[in-house]
Amino acid sequence: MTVAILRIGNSLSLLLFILAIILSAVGEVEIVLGLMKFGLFTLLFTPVCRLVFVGWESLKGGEFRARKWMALVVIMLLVLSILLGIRH
Amino acid sequence: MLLVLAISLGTGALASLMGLGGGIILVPVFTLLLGIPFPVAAATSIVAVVAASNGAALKFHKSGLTNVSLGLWLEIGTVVGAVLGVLAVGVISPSFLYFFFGATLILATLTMLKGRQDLSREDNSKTPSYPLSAALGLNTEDYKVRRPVLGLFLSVFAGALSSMLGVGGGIVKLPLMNAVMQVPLRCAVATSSFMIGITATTGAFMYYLQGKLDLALVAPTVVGVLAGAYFSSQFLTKIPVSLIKRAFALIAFVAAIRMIVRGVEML
Repeated sequence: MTVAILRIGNSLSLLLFILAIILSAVGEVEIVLGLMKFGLFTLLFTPVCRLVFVGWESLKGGEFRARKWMALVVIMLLVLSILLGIRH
Repeated sequence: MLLVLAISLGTGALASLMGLGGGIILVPVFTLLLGIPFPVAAATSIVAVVAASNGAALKFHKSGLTNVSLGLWLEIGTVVGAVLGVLAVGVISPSFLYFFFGATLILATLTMLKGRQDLSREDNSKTPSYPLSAALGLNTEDYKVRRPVLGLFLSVFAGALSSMLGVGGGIVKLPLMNAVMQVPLRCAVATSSFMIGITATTGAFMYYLQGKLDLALVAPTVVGVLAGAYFSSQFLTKIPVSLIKRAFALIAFVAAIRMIVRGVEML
């Protein structure tokens, strides 16, 4: 599953960026910007999704009790940093 | 856009051949050759680092060397550091950033030329464990993780360095895990790769929300770096790495001096 998340995330963002570069030659500014933003968020959410998956996996398996809390703290810090970025 | 694509392609190929994230090459190229302001160059570079680290994580995931619990523990510090780093970019003088990057580039080049040495003890599995390491499940059957609290504090610095300079931060994370926490080098490399993506993502989100991320620069950079890494892994495997390392060291040293000179000029 981790491999799938990483592969899909990287490939999709790459595809979106390539499409945006090709369309930028035509001049569709709004579509290009939309594709670039979508590509960026796909790329940035790939490690976040992997992190959520690691936390979820630990939640299911009883032997990694501390791991799920650490994953949760990291996700919370990430969310807090985004909120801090919005406020600034 | 085509120029950025071509530069990133070369950077991705070179970085992949030498096992680097790419940020250490991208930032000097963007600032010195293309005249892009440092914060924008660092922001673009950090997104490229996310893309490169996703690819590297795929490779290391299969090896089974990644210590996920240790990565998550240190990630608590690096995420905080990444936020502080981006906030610092808006406050501290750009000349300091040039100085700091120049010094980091020289250090990274020297480390690369010298080759990494495994500073962990051969087998520490028999020695007593740190209670916190045991409680957090950081230890494995092969080794025990030392000084978890010191490691957490030092990883704040690694995160700040990563987001501030637009690099992966392996130059701090590897010695930290290997020498301070006594994690074997191969496991430290894999765990660092697991961490870099999350740290860099935090920095990239912050830069984006602060409006310092130029999407027209990000798209060709990411495409170029990923394509370059793929190209080098498929076609450039026959070039002797030692030769590339020496050539890179020379260029990196000149770039580092120019970065420091730029810093002086901006004073």
